[in-house]
Amino acid sequence: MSKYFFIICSIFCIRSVAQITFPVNDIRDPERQLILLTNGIIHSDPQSEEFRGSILIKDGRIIQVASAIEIPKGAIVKDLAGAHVYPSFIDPLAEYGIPEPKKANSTNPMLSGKDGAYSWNEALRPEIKSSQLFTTKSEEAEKWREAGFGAVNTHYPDGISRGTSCAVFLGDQNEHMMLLRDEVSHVMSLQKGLSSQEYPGSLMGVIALLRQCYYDGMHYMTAIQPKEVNFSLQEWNRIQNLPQIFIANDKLDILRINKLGKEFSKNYIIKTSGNEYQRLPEIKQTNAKLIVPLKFPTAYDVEDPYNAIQIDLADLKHWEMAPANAGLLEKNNIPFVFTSSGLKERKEFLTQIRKAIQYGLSPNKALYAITLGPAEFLGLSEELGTLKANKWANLIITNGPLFDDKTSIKENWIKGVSYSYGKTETKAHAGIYNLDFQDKKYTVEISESGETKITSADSSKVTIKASLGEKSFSGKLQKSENGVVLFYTTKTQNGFFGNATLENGSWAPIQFVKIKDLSSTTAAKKDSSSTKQNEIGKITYPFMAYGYTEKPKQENYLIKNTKVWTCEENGIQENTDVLIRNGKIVSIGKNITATDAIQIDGTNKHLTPGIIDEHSHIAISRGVNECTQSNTAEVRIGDVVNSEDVNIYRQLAGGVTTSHLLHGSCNPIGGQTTLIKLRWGYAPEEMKMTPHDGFIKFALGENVKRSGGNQGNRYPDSRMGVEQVFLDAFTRAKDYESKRKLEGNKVRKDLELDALVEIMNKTRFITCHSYVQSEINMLMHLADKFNFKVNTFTHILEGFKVADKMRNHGAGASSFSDWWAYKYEVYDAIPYNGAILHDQKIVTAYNSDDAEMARRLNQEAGKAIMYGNVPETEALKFVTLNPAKLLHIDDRVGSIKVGKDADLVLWNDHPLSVYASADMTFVDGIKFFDRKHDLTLREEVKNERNRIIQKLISLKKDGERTMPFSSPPKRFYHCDTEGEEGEENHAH
Amino acid sequence: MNHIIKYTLLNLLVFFNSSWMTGQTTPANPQTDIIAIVGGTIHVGNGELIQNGIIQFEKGKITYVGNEPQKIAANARKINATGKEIYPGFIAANTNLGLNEIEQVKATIDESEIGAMNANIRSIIAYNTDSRVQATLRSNGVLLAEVAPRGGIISGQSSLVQLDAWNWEDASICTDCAIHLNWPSPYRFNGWWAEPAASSVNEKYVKEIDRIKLFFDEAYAYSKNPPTSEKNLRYEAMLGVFNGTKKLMIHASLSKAIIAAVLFAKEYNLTPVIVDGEDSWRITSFLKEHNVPVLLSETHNLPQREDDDIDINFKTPKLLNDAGILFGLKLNGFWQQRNLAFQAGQMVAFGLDKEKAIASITGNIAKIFGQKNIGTIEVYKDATLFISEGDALDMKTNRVTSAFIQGREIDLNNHQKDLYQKYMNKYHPKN
Repeated sequence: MSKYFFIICSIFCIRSVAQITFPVNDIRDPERQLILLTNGIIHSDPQSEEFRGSILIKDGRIIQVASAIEIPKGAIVKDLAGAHVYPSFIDPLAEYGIPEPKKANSTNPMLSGKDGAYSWNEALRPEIKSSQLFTTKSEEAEKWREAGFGAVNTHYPDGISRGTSCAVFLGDQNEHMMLLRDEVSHVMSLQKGLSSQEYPGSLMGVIALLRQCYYDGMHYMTAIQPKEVNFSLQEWNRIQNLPQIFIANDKLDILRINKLGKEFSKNYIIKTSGNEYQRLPEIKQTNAKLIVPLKFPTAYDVEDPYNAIQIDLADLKHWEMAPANAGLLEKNNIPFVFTSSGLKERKEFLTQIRKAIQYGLSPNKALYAITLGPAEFLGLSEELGTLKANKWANLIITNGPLFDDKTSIKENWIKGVSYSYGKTETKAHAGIYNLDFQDKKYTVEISESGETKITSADSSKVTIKASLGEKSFSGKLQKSENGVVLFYTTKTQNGFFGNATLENGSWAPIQFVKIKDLSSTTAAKKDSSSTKQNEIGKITYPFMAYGYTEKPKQENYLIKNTKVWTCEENGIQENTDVLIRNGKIVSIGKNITATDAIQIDGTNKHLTPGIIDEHSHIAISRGVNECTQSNTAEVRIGDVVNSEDVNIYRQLAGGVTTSHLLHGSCNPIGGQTTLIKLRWGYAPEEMKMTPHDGFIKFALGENVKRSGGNQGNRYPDSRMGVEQVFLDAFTRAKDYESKRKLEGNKVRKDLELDALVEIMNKTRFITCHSYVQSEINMLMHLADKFNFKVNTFTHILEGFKVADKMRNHGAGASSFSDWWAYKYEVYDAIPYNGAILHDQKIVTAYNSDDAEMARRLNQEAGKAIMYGNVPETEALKFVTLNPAKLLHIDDRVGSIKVGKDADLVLWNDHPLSVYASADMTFVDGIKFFDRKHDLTLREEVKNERNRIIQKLISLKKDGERTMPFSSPPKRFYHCDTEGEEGEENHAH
Repeated sequence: MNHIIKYTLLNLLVFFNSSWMTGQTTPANPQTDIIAIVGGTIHVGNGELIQNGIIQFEKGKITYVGNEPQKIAANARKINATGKEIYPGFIAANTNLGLNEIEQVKATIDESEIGAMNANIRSIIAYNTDSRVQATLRSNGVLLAEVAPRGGIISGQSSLVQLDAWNWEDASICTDCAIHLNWPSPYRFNGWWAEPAASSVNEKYVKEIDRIKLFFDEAYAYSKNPPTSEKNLRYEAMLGVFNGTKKLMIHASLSKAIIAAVLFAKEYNLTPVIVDGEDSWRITSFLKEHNVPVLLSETHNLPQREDDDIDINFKTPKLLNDAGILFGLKLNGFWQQRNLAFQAGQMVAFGLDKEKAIASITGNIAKIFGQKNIGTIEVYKDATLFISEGDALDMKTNRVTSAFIQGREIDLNNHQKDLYQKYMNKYHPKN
């Protein structure tokens, strides 16, 4: 690339002054310098009309911008000859000039690898001041400048709290001169990064850590500082008033970050991943300002049909729609600016913006998003962003309108110093020239790219080989075998004039007279006017196969003449009608009529309550386990619900309407759970069932003592230790509670202990992964000691051995129908477990713990008939009313009863039979699944795939660069986030 | 030990139905009387159905199947099966049954060996007839199994066994009858079910295939001219593959891999059985052309891809059947085999004829293995069959009341039923 341009550090550069505190080993240049740029087309800011005028610069700042400025004494004048002038670009989140982060040497993964009175967690480093790490990096800066940037907000790119960023100029001078502001923003991310510490190992762990940090900051003076000095918290508090930039990895992260921010009245500027268009309404509601990247996916190579089917529709669609992201944000009035972050080459920045403009972004907004916008977002608009008096002289000079494809940046002025770029300007020379030479007439054609052709008027043989400069035209002419004519000419009013040495060695004048202009200004205009909006598909919710173009809505339905499994005392009602209105069941009986309801014929079908899965791990982003400590009561699945999991839709097709999303079973005290309804297409917060009692996952046995490998040295290593973990946790929680009651915020608010206090206060309930009778018994004793009940034992495969004790304690059971032999602690498991527990009057449920099994929980309930003869109406309750009771939502769901939520499934056969499948599934009176409509969706998936694949194939023919499907963007993870990628196997 | 104690002990054993102490059942004695099952619905296992039928068997072999009461031998012990359903013993194909007792306890696992080309490895000698697991399968109708080794590129040799035996010799009905080759995947899959990540091309795919080819070339050359001394155990084990006495089972899921595997086998004039074959429905004409049968993986499985039809795993059997492909069903795991019938039932819910679904876990499997004595309820075959009170493919109605393996009426108890009784007795004391 670099051979196509050369860099001139112009005379202004030499005149630029050194920093004032340094001694001078030379003759000192005067500090003041005046530069007047005249005759430019000035785009002073994104809103104003361009105008022809001048800019006066003094000591690196703009003094005046006007259509005419009188030349001041001593000013250096530069004629811009109609070139366009814009403010230089600003990147609001860069890593320029900062040393590459390194991993600390640490031997204990439980402790921070950073020495000193800093945060316990190495990923929290608010004390970092990037300004103190910053050094000018000329080579890197050059790439930025060439791309049009004049200043960046740069930061230390590692960790969760990354400390403060600084604004720097992208000139070549030393740090003293190039630092614009030493603390611009506080930068945070959801990635642990290079921290040598294990915690946090999941996304929910990161969010929990930040939440605790906010509290620690708030109570630092009262609760922490009297006992310990903590520089990290001091700095954390000090930098809260700066703009807070938060880096998101995905559209859903934006919602998560915003939700966290609202808890602490923080408004973040969120750096996004580029797929915001997929959740526009929700993102608009956050009112967050966005920093948007311009990395668009490369086209896929789809010519091998078997490879092509490995690419998900979501990825194909994202390839097509990513360039439209910015335009859609603009259309929805979501405030945003651009960053070049993520681009392979800094130079792609402008091409990508032009592409975004082709896809609907307005040029004004584009200019705003790279100049004034970033300055405003970062509080730098007094300094940068427009061409106005008193601002720094950061400007670019271009040879045409900035967003025209053919325009290039010729100069970039930073702090009043000019850096020049670009290929020598020869386009204007394109044309047809007459040459009268040695009594012959020739015609010379110079193309826009500088290629030359020559023809003689008498058709005699002649060739030309020449090189074209900005102001010169030189080369050789060959007319005969006898030798060549060498010429050197320079530009004149109407062509080129100079001298030539003839074949015989003598000299003669030579003149090329332009008779026709071939330059492209007119052609370029034609191009831009013919640019049409690029075709893009529809946005679906969620943005993937089986997504809906419009979220399904609540309707009134009357299901006629069906067999109703009420799961209430009246059991099965034959030939019955059920009316649902406004999301509720309003009437059950015979011969119901309702003119406002859509009628559904239920003849020969079965209507049951929606299935409730007490133990599920679907719809969770970046880690179901925070495995790193034995007690992680502070983490919350509710922070990381993933609405874009196709298993939601697949499970609706299996009749599931409610899922209890649990933390894994990696540690004795896992995280807080969340309860969702399977509202496919809706956003995470809309899926949550609210309000509901809080639950928390506990776990016992082999998983928590880590018997399956991965031994490590985390306590506990035996069931004996498991008891002590609980005993210790609740003992501490009790002390904590009483101290907090007395001393309030003088005692550090501890989110981990808060969750345990809630358990003891019976506002949070336990669902405990458990297998063998000894540990089940233990936990009930421990609960008795602290005066609470274990709400639910999940798995509970040896529950049949202690069913009487469980009944006395008041615990419920959520089990597998017939699993065993997958580990030692289930070797005594029997498929009659459910029947025995039920027989012992324990509220008994069957759960999935598995995305596949959840699609057929009705069949699992059928096994309760097979093993132990549970009556069929009771067996159905194992997956409906009983889990509702275990989750304390049986007043709303779990049976077909007037007043309850219209969460219903219409089956085509006996619901406990292997032959049954759901025809329709309703949640809150919204039909989220309809087997007939599913066929339509499949067609749509097929057609949409085909449309995009055809497009990709034709693009490849047109020479577009493609990549094999091998490296499509990972939609869920970021590659350097260890531990969030689910490699922690969730063991049952 | 005095006589009285002996007697009491014996009584106790009988009382707890003998399995109680060990978790094992006692293998049944050989059939002595002639048995006639009368009046049930016979699911033949080849797609046919006989209503109100009669099955008679003697010395372990079926001697009569039909509707004519006069064929019942005078001295036959008659079992009234009126209103009941009769099935050939279900066959759990490609299972690690008896090779793995507890999945996470390494000491109980004997299912894979170190090395990549383990053609010589024989699963049968590790098959544990005294596992607790078989009895829990038999009570759901699974009476036969193909015990297959796992791991490596060539896992080794599998054998067919019946599930009521004193030792592996007793159990075996076809020793070392197939070689298992795991075809490399053209793609790499990342993430896990809760969060699948994008798949990518397996860059080592071609190299991995070259390695298999090298082995097969050498084994093939060896088979053409086997040495009398300096025998190569691996190639010796491959002889049967090339002379047609051992089946070549190639495990492959995706279209590309299946096609490559079949064409590879054709180079050695072999017709493989494709095991897993999740994408087989996409290439039925290819499979048909090459006459390749499929041992299909679970119907209770999630689709491979986000965009796939949500019920693709449920309906693949129907798609294969409609295309005329011979297919059987196989499940992963050992204790999981008790759900074999229900996974076949799932096929019916998505369009497959019920008798065809039954064939996919009985007659078709026998056909795939070329076994003439098992798989269907037909004359001259082993009397390996069972009676269920209701439809055995549906968990709602599967109630196995009696079962026969080679004519021997087997014990349908298992340690889980015992534990059930034990604790029901605890919670509901009789006195």
